[in-house]
Amino acid sequence: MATSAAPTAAGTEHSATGSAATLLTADDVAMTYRTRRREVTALRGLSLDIGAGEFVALVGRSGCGKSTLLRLLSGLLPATAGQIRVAGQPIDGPPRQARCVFQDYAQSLLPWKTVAGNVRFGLRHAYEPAEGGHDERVAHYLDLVGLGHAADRYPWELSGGMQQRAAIARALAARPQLLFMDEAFSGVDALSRAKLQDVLLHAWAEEGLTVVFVTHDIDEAVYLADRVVVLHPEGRGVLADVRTGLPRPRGQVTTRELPEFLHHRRELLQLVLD
Amino acid sequence: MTTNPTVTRTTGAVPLPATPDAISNESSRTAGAPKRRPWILRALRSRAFGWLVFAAALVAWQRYATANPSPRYATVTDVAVQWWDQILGGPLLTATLQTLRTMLIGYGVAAVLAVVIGVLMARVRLVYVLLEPPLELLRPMPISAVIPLLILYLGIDDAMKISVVALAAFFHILLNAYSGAGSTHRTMMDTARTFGLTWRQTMAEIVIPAAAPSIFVGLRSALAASLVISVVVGMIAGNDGLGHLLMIQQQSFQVTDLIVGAVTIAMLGYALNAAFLFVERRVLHWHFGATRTHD
Ligand SMILES: Nc1ncnc2c1ncn2[C@@H]1O[C@H](COP(=O)(O)OP(=O)(O)OP(=O)(O)O)[C@@H](O)[C@H]1O
Ligand SMILES: [Mg+2]
Repeated sequence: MATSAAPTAAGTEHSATGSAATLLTADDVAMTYRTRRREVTALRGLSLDIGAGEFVALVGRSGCGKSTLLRLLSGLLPATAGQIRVAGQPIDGPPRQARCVFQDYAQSLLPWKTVAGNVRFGLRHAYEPAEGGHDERVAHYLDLVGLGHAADRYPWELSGGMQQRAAIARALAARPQLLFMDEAFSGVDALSRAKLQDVLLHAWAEEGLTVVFVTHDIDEAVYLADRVVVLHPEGRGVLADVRTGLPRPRGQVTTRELPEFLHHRRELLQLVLD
Repeated sequence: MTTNPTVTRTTGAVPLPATPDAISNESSRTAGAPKRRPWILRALRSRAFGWLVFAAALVAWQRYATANPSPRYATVTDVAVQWWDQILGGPLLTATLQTLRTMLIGYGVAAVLAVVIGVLMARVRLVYVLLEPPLELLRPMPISAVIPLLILYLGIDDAMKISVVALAAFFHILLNAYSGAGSTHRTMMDTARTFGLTWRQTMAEIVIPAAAPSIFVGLRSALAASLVISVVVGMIAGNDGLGHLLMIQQQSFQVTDLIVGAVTIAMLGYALNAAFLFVERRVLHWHFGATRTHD
């Protein structure tokens, strides 16, 4: 496999200070689902600012509206009140500079295309057109997620973790500024998951992304993010906004042993459980 | 980076149908040492066995027909010789080509229209609202009831025959294209939206490929229907094609020729189906690979 830039550089130029220019804003947003029989207010009065280059994790109890918020932020669902702005512009549908990685990768990758074909799809529908030949770009993104050897396989010939890596490569190939992920790693086994986390951190550092990552796993949130946003259990805005500031690059073993890691983990668990 | 050793490559492999035997085979293998079936059982399970029985039936027919000659039936060799003589030229060849032509044009027109209309109905509310009532009224109508009307308007030539075939094929494909295009998974549509695909791109790159397995189900049943109708419409119009040829032969009691005609239609159907499966296996190889079943 070709080696891409050293992963040890991960996150060195990203600092979780929040001082960067605001890229994504949710301004007093509410979402009420209207079904035939009743109305469910999943979110209300939610405001959030996310700076360019940040890695933000959204956590909260099941049903607190994490997926709803992510669908609002990614423009897949129109908010019933308030406004979402990307780079200062109110959005009306999915913003051009954002891509999503979904939990059900099996329904997101195109099964009639090979892994390389799926990445090429990302290139063709890119936010910023790729420099250089498409073939090299495809190879670059496949190497970035460690799938260089599987380029001409079909998604259904891969394990779950590999499929999700292919989905990440496809999203990255579109050179987005913003990457939204909803429980993207919940469907895979623990080892593949650790691998996916590191692939994501590496890609985030390499590509200069802003990531909004929904998870129900507090450990995952603390391990990945600079900032963990806890949603109110009844959908009433943000309960807590914790800047962890753990050092980067992160390591599956070393980071998880840090006293700060354990401290934040404890603090966040209490917030979510209470 | 690590590779997953449990992933096996299966590209290009033609999936075998999952028969009950395949399942029992599996369980007997896990139960203990693989027990080899007695040769007689293995022979009975092979496809060649079916063809062998068929050949034996032909031989029996041949012997009976030679021993008891009658103008009411013909020997296998007579049929074979006649068929070979006639398929190389003369009325049988002309009729076969005419029927095939009617059929393929009608089928092609139906395929294009039905896929386009089916996808539009599934994806554009206005098209659905406008087309659903007339199509639902037309659909249960037996094609035989429409033929007299079409003859009245279009005469008895190509235009009528092609229309009849197209009409017979149309609904098979339409229903499958409609349901296939209407059931694209939500995540796949979200993927199209977040990648900023236009409506046209979404149809071409997401909706239609995802609906392809369903469309092919319709195309296949439409193929069988088109062949039947293209023969029948020749009988009714009474001017050309295999149907017309058979009617003439029946009136002049040419039994051998009648059988030759029937054999030709059967072979045409077999060849068309084989060609269809060949194309389908290439176009939908990803689908068969992903689902591991094939009817
Ligand atoms: N399409 C919908 N129609 C009606 N109500 C919905 C819909 N989607 C979500 N809800 C409701 O909105 C609330 C928030 O749901 P959401 O899926 O955003 O929660 P979540 O935090 O992602 O939960 P989980 O951790 O279980 O994924 C829930 O009460 C849910 O029942
Ligand atoms: Mg959710």
